[in-house]
Amino acid sequence: MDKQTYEKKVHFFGRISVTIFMLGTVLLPLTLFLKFGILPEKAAFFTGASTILSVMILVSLAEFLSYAPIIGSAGMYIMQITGNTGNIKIPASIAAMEATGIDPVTEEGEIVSALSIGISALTTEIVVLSGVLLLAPFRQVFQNPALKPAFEQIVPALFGALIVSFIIRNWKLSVIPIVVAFIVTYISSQPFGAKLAYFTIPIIVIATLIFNRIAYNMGMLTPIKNDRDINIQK
Amino acid sequence: MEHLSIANSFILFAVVIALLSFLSFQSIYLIILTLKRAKALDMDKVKLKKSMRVAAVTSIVPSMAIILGLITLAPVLGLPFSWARLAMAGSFMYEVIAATIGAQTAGAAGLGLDGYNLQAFANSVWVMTIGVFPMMIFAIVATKKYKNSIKKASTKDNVWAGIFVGTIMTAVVANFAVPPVIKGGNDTIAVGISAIVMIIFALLDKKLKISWLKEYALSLSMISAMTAIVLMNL
Repeated sequence: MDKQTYEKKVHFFGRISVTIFMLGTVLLPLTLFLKFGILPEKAAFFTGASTILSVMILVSLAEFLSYAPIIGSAGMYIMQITGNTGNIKIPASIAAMEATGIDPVTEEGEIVSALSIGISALTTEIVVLSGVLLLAPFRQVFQNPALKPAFEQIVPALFGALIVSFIIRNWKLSVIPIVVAFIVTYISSQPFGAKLAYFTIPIIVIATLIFNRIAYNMGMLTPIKNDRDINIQK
Repeated sequence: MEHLSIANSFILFAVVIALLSFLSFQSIYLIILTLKRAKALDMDKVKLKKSMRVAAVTSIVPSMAIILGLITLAPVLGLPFSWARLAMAGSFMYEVIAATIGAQTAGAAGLGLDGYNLQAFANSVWVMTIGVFPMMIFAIVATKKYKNSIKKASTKDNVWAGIFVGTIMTAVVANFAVPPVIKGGNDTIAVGISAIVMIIFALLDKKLKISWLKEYALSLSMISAMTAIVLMNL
């Protein structure tokens, strides 16, 4: 399959499948109405929907713009309907790229990230399904007072290791993102900056891009060493 | 909690299974399409397999956190909704926030608290469903255009393109890695131990050239940090 046919197929199927799924999710609340006659009050629904949308439109846009450059199109279509982006899919894709040493800018990188997101999505579905089937025994394990604190620290444990591998691979590139992340985290933890908490990702991404561009223009940054055998043009 | 008998009814399980089957079908189809393109590009099969294995392994532990979410949400929202919501667009944090907004705008004190009647429950479900629409709509309308414009820009200056993508990845990782460093307590211990273990693995990898280590280093660092937390809290 040539590049053009592949991309055409991905976008065509991607758009249709996301549209079908989006409409499909309405079946859940709709079943409550059609089968059981339960509908929220109009006023409550409109207030609730506008409250969540006012936040989510901006948050989703920011995430979309930040993640799309590092994930292949096929991966984006999967990720936007399967969710759990920052905590599972992005790290899975980055880890796969790191382990194979494939350059994310090339078409190979696009392919690896798309495959990783797909596999990650399926893995999550299977794990959650097993959780549903084995809810009672899992409840005992997860709510065990000795184990609970560990499960609460999955995200820090994941990203602590991940940031180290980034620093080792290209410390010059990592200095500014880490410094900026410290500043943004500090500001958003203060009362006057609390509203920023939802938008830390785009703020850190944009700020680091600006600073790293300046550093690049000054000749201070070198690209990540990876195999660049396949160019994006191909 | 009169809503729970309805929330756990068979028909809702059926709808959830249908939705999640579609979700898995979408992932599988896009994976197959991408593998065909990888074959046409004559990509290294060993690397492809490795990347998928790493993505799967890296997704397992963070997916376990979803089961913890399931255990928390199921007593309030019923198992089918909790399962569906946590296995699709959104994340545990999002679902809790959206469900709470739905509950409060319907006059309940909070999720599962005083006044959480059938209408409040239905409102939670509607708000959770609608809140992720922007995410999916951006995927439908903007993925093709945005990805193409990124590609166009990156062909102009390939060196900067590498730094651009590397910077975004590092910024996203820093966004999640830095807050637990500042937070203190178990968060800081988890992020610290996992970082230290990762450094040890990187050194071992460099000195001893154990290739499988790179693949599992991330997951092993996570598990080490989580084990340490358990031991320290005993």
